[in-house]
Amino acid sequence: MTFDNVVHNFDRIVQATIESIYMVFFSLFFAVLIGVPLGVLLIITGPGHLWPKRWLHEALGMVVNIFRSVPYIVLILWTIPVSRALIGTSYGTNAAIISLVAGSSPFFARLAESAMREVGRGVIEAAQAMGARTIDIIWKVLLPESFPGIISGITVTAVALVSYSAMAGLVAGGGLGAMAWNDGYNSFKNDILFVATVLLIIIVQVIQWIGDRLVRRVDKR
Amino acid sequence: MTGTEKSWREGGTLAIIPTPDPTPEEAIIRFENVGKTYERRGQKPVEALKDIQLSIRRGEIFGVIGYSGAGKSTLIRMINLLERPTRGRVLVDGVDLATLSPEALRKKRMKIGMIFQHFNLLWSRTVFENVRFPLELAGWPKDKAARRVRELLAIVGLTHRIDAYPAQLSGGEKQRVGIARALANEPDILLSDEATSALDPKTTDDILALLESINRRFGITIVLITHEMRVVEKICDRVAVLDGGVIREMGTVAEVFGRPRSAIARKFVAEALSEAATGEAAPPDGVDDAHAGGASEAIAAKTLRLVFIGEVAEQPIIQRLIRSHDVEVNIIRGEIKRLKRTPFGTLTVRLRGREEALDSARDFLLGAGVIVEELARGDARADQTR
Ligand SMILES: Nc1ncnc2c1ncn2[C@@H]1O[C@H](COP(=O)(O)OP(=O)(O)OP(=O)(O)O)[C@@H](O)[C@H]1O
Ligand SMILES: [Mg+2]
Repeated sequence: MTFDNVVHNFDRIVQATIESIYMVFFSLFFAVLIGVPLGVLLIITGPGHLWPKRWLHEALGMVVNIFRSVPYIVLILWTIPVSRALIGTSYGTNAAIISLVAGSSPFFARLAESAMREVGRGVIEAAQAMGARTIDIIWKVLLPESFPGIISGITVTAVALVSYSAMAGLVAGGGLGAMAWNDGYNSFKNDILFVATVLLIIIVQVIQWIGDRLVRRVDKR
Repeated sequence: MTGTEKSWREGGTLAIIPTPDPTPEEAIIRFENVGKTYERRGQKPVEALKDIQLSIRRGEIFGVIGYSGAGKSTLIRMINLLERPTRGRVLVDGVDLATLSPEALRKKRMKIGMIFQHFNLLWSRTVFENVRFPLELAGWPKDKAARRVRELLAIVGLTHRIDAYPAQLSGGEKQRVGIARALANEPDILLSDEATSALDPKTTDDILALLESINRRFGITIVLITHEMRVVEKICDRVAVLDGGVIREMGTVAEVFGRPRSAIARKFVAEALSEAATGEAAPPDGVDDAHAGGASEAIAAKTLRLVFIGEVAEQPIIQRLIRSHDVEVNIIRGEIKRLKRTPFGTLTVRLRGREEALDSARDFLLGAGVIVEELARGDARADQTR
């Protein structure tokens, strides 16, 4: 196998890599922005927790589960009209980000929820006994105490986003996934398919490496 | 049972000065007919506490002892309203916390420190940050809080561990952090929910000594719950024995454990005196077989359990007994302990002699302030099992 095509299309490969990273980064950003509060709500509205609200708890749980049970490729199709309404087009990396956020926020919310579930009942009660408000407990107990778990949840979500972003890019256009499909497979340029795959693997490895290091640094248990 | 019931009543005229319950003005915490029933969907309701009447005096160390499931945690958690009474009310400084607004309750809780069996420290924070936590909640400015934290760490003797994380501390050190944290906002009351139950005996003693010194230095009222009698013995002024959600006995530690009336209190005493203090080798009471059928001067034997409290424990009473009475004294078992301030001993003896001599020996002992309990064989056995 020669890498002629790779050499000729070098700029476009770099471009596609940047697009992939761009999609993963911004979807991750919004997934965390939506997922953390959602996770907090899921946990504190649960029975016997800080703010038990049975209906809210069950409604949120149901929405999250619906999003999680729809296959991602179907979710992409459903978010096409949403992208059109929000950003005026269903094409491009920004359109892809919309479906990526829709797919990954509920996933991450569950991960954040289970990380926060690890925070013992005892510390929460200790904080209550010290006169902490619910909001204090969220900011000073739940989130900091589950921080290592949340970071590893972010890592898992980021890795999942790399693979989802390849799919999203295929439909919306952009990124290494689209490149592998259009310029690689469909154009019989196996070297481009190969390099795109290797680049995706490298991105995943780097994310995992950073995530693991961060967890180790913040985990004081 | 009836025999022992009688003897403690006879012994009741003794050197023990029963401290009356605190007057309403003296009481910092009052339970008025408090009950708690846990209702769970689809489960049988659990009546964890029944009609609790309790007054805790300002500045004292009050113990609540009971076995697992007795309702101890439920009781202590009502004082800072972590648990709501379902009947009656709990007054702290005359205020029923259940009637307060959330904001007022918060302020009140800051004046009630609490320590826990499993410490409940924040893993993500250093010792310094853990102790600062309640100050953050109370809105202290940073520099003032830092000074206060150092002060607190000096009190509990942990200055050298200021930057350690809880995971790097021993159990005893963790509890010291817990204590420093509980004292941060200068509380009037310190609640201790089995604070030493996860610690070894030596560390338990250190922590108890620290609690006692805190009680003395700052006059903080301490309410502690435990299932270990050594804890109560060591530092409590008064104690309530809780069983099945009911207070079976309450009074000064010397009173309650010097002449335990309830079966449950006896059990604790028996446990505390490393072995049951009753003579297992004691033959049945009554006429000694070897001498039976003798003349009218039949030699009898009795097994007695003698409890010495306070001054009585420091006098050579047995020696005087032997000198002045024609009885043979055979010591089966004995133990001297020291309660917080009161020396406290139990002695199981077997007396042999003529009936009249035995009766007069018994009167002598009662007159000297000893609590005399006659052990029938069945009793001895009952005391030994658990
Ligand atoms: N939240 C709850 N829901 C239902 N039942 C409860 C609850 N908390 C306690 N109970 C029940 O109330 C009774 C008293 O419990 P409590 O925790 O006060 O006992 P305890 O004396 O502290 O025991 P331990 O020494 O095991 O901690 C037990 O039968 C327990 O099962
Ligand atoms: Mg308990």
